Amino acid sequence: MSVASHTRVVSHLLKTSVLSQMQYRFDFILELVMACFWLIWNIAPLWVVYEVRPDIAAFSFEEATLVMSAFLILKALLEGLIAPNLMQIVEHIRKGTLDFVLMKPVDSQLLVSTSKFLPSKFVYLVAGLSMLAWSLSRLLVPPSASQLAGAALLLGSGAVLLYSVWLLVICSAFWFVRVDNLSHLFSSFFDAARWPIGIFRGWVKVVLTFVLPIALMTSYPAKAALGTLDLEGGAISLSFAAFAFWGSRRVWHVALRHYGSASS
Amino acid sequence: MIARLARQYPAMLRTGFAYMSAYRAEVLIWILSTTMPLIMYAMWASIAREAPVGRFDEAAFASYFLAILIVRQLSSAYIVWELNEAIRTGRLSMLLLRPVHPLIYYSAEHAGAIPLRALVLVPITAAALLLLPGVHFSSNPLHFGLAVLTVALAFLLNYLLQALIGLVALYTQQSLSVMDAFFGLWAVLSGYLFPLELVPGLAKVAVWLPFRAMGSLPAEILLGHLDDGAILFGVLVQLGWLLLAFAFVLALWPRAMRRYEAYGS
Repeated sequence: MSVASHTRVVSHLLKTSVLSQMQYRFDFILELVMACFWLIWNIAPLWVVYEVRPDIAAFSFEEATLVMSAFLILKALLEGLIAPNLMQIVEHIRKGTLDFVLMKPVDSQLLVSTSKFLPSKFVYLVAGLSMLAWSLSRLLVPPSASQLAGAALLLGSGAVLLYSVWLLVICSAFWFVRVDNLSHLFSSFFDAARWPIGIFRGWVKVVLTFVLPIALMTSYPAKAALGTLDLEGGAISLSFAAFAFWGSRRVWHVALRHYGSASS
Repeated sequence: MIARLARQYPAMLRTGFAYMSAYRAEVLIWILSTTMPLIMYAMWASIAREAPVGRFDEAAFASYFLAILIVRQLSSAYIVWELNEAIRTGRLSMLLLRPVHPLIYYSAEHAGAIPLRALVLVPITAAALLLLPGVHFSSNPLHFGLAVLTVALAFLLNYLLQALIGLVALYTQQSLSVMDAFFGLWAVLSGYLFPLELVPGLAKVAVWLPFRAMGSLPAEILLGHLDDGAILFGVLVQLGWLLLAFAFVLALWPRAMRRYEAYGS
């Protein structure tokens, strides 16, 4: 299948899922309100920190707000697109309806990754982008075009990394079936991504960079925008994301061979 | 009736524990996913390393968030999800047929998880107290006793308020969104993310609200941060909210049950 027809399939899937969400108007508005509420919840600790200590040596205010904006953008992606889709896989496996996905003449990973989309989480994306613009405009030395490009690239690779790690977690459902708790555990670790990685020390820092790579998702793009990331760090981040994507796709195919179709 | 309950409850506790042990892996993952106090500790410690914030230096933050972690583990309830599920699937019908009130039955299930929680908490607490320099709780045994008492009250309050929110499920489909909002308010106003005394303006309001009574109050007592007057005030606020919540549950439960239609059975 060509790229054009893949795009057509994906845009159709997204459109139907938006329409089906909008059907429940009251729920939709309530979800929007809740998303705004959670947004305040997410930003509140940052506000408290700067309330009690206006200048912090461990990280600069600019770095903290840039990391927070990257966190919000990735959170929008995670809660609006990645998690709702990948959690459906668990349900598909349990009920045996993954059959219907596998029968369709489209790449199965693409189908399971794009069939559900929660528009109310857009609030996070808007907030993250506005916070990003605000923090960039406050920088004393405006970032150069190459710094901005690097930050955008690393944020993109952070998104790929987030998706790949989630896919890996979900693939374990082919063996264990019940993995909603595991994804809950991962979400609670992702909460640490709202702070610059500099607050962690020792082995925790290493684990959060290379094992549960949340530092690569939010702190590295922020550093790139500030021009404090060396080329080596950028290269590590990009190759890590590429490797994770390739690896998770391989695992998906291995896992599919383990799928026993519960309905038959 | 009390005598009958006293006979039945130990048996319910045993089944509660057996149920939790059967799903031990899942329960452990749930317990381990309480990472927020650790994250907030790392955050605040990185700030306190240059200079203490108020009375909090690095070790004081470690003690604080350790106490918060313990209180959170021992006072957490999930009855709202249980009720929601039971109402949605019709499982509640079966529970209503039993000669024990469903809320009493579920409370035994909650208590059954405590040994598993201790399995995680005891090593963490011991390691932190022994290995991290300067981490300590109040040396006054009375503070320890009061902390145990207030944790129990905090659990009861949390449980009853969640049960109330769970009953909302019989009126709208949105009881879990209400729970989300409740949890969000709780996290900000309970001292879960930061010690309330660091934001005095907020603390002045928060001491009157139920969130701190379910959150940092037992932790602050355990740490010895509160004088006798403040402890008494805190316990009275707890008891006041507890009575109110209890009265609401008593009043609302029979009404809500008349609305219950037992879907799916």
